[in-house]
Amino acid sequence: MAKKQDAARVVDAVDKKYELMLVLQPEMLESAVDKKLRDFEKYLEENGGTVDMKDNWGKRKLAYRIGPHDAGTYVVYNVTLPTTFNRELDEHLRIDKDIIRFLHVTLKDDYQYAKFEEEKVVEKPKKEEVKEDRKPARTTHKAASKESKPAEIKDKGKKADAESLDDKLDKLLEGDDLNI
Amino acid sequence: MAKIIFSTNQKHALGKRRCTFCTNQMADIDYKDIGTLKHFTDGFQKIKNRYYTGVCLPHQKKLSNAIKRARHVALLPFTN
Repeated sequence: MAKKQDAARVVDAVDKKYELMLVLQPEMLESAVDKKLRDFEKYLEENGGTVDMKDNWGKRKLAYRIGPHDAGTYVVYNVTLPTTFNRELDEHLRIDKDIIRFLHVTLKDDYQYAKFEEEKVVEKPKKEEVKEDRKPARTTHKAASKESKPAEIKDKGKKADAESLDDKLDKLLEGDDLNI
Repeated sequence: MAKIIFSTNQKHALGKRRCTFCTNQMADIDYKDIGTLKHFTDGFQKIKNRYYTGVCLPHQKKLSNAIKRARHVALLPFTN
């Protein structure tokens, strides 16, 4: 019975879509990473798979420590693989010492890869905007004060002029009074 | 990606509840979308109860699955 089932499994090999996320060691150089990925793609194609999409996120901080590592280089693949190849792939990835973690998930047929922005990236510009808003307010206040000060001085000058005029008028009036 | 509007569910705590994923018409929840996943985790990095977030049951199941996947790849922390 078991033999028959195994035979059936082999016959039923169908291509399916998968997503692979690899977390590589952070100490690897860029050239080494490129070589590693090229070899990996070759390995996939030898076993009847095709690479639809590849996205290299670069170095990222890990949310928690994995062994001695604090960071890792993230790479995402969208692949179509024969269903019989999955176990072998998982073992291949598990044995590899340069790969810290990996995720191997199925995808829907109408899946479209999308990049996501993190919260921090969205938040930072908001804070800057607030600061920018504050700064010009201060400057405007200063400017207003600067503008107001000379205006006051001008007013003083005007007042001085007015006082002198008053004096003159008083004198004239006195003169008028005398005349009257 | 269109911006996701998060419903607070504070005004209608027990009456009318609205699932954020239903209102934004998101059929699937991606484990790479950390910004949205963080909204549904605690201060201790636990998954929030849907009693407080107002997420519907089918979406809550997808959400928890996505968070667990993100934790496995060290995009999100386990309990703090």
